Amino acid sequence: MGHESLPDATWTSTSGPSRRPRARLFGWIAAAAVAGVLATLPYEQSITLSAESVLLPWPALLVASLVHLALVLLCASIGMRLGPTLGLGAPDLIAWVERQPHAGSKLGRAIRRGLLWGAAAGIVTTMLGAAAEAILPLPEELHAASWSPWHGLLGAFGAGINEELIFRLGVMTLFARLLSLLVRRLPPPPALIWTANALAALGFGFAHLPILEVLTEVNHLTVGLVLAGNGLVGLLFGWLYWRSGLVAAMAAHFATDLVLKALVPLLLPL
Amino acid sequence: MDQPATRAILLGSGTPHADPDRCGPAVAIVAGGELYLFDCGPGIVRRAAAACRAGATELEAVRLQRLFLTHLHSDHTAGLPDLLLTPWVLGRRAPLEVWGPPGTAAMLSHIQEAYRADIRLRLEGREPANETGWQARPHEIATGRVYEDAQVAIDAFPVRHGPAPAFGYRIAGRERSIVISGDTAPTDEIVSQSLGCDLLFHEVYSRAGFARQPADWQAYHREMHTASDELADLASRACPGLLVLYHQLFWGESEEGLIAELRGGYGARIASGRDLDVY
Ligand SMILES: [Zn+2]
Ligand SMILES: [Zn+2]
Repeated sequence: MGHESLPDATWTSTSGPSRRPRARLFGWIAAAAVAGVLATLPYEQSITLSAESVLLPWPALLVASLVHLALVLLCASIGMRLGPTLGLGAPDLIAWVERQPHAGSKLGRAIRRGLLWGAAAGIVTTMLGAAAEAILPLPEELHAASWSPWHGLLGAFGAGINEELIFRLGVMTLFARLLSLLVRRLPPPPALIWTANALAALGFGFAHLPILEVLTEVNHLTVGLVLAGNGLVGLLFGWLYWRSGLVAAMAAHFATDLVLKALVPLLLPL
Repeated sequence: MDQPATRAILLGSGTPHADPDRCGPAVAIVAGGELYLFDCGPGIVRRAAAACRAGATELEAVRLQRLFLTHLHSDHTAGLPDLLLTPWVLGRRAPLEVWGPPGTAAMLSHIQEAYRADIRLRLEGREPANETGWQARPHEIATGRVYEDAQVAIDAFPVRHGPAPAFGYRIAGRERSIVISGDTAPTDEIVSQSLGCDLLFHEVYSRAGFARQPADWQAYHREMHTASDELADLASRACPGLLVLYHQLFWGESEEGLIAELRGGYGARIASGRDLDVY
């Protein structure tokens, strides 16, 4: 006689609709964050090795990884809590774990879109970097560090997940909420989302300064280049996070880093 | 009479009972020319049209674009396909913005999926339909501030209505504050949220009618809803400017009988809400 049982087992949960899929989603995010932390280790160790000629001892590495993981999870929880009223967060992923109609194909489109934009950003950044090297009086040891393309690939994967969980889901969402409190508008108007995006992108740029110290001499020019380069791709990721979802931003970040960390070292070895 | 800048129009005062005089629960708040709908019981779009005809032009079909859901029970959401699609067919361009508990986005996407053939036909056929008005923007909320613009600030607070998340709403307008209980058993939270508000819309069931219900339904309502004497006690503590009864479960009791039940414990202003009442 037609529909005798509820169409989806998730709806029969005693805690009511939609709690179980959300808990599951946070589990997925945590698992991805752990994978991300692990994936970035070889790349980070390569850079440390080329700069210091020694690897971090494993207890220090473990502590650093756990702190990294805790920060990622804190940012993810902030973003999941504050995102929905701001038009941010991860509704695309919630739709997917809840098996909403067409959620999978929407996610697929978002990933393709992110990969395209990210790859384009990686290529443009590489060309601008080469142009800057040709035109500007940059310090010598710009290519002091080297790593295998495989480490670069893993690093791109880890950064795509974790840096987006931190800077877009966490930081950008938090800035959007703070700004919306300031101007008393919720959801915030687009200009406010762009401001939050710019602030998060700036933070993203600053977060890439420590690695500069490893790669080359720190001066106004190199700091400016790192801030501008990372800031601009950060803006792109933030725009994708806002308009196409968190997964699009992750895919774009992965593609950009894949070009910069794996393809360029592979195709243009020193 | 001068109309207050922030006013409430009761579009539907009903319950799951198919009372032809009472549409499913829906409250419209009008402030500074803007419209905010709370719950979406069956009949909401027709009642909005009736309110519009009576002079509240903010409720014109194409302007029905912001909805806040207290919870996802069918008596509060059966008007959702109507609210999503009818105003679009009548020319609304803006997507329907819907705030509600977790599960709201899934409900909206399944409604769109159910009406996919119709939406396709209208978009791809000869009908001059716009591309955006059938879309929905869900915002799945937690408690706290959920919306704020130049006219109102809207906060969601938790209510007690079974295991799934359910909210009441507090709407702070420029010079009036309005609280909508949604469906709930009495809680201290509602008292503190509606302390000194101008208007309190609160659900209620008749204590006398309750006594005539079968034991299993009594157990259900005791846990999920508010009896007249419980509401009298709650309102005495919250002291709203006006207590408006809605979602009244009469169970054979008359409107006067229900008010008399409340009068037993509450002396201040009470109105038993009816569809299209304006407060
Ligand atoms: Zn109800
Ligand atoms: Zn209910």
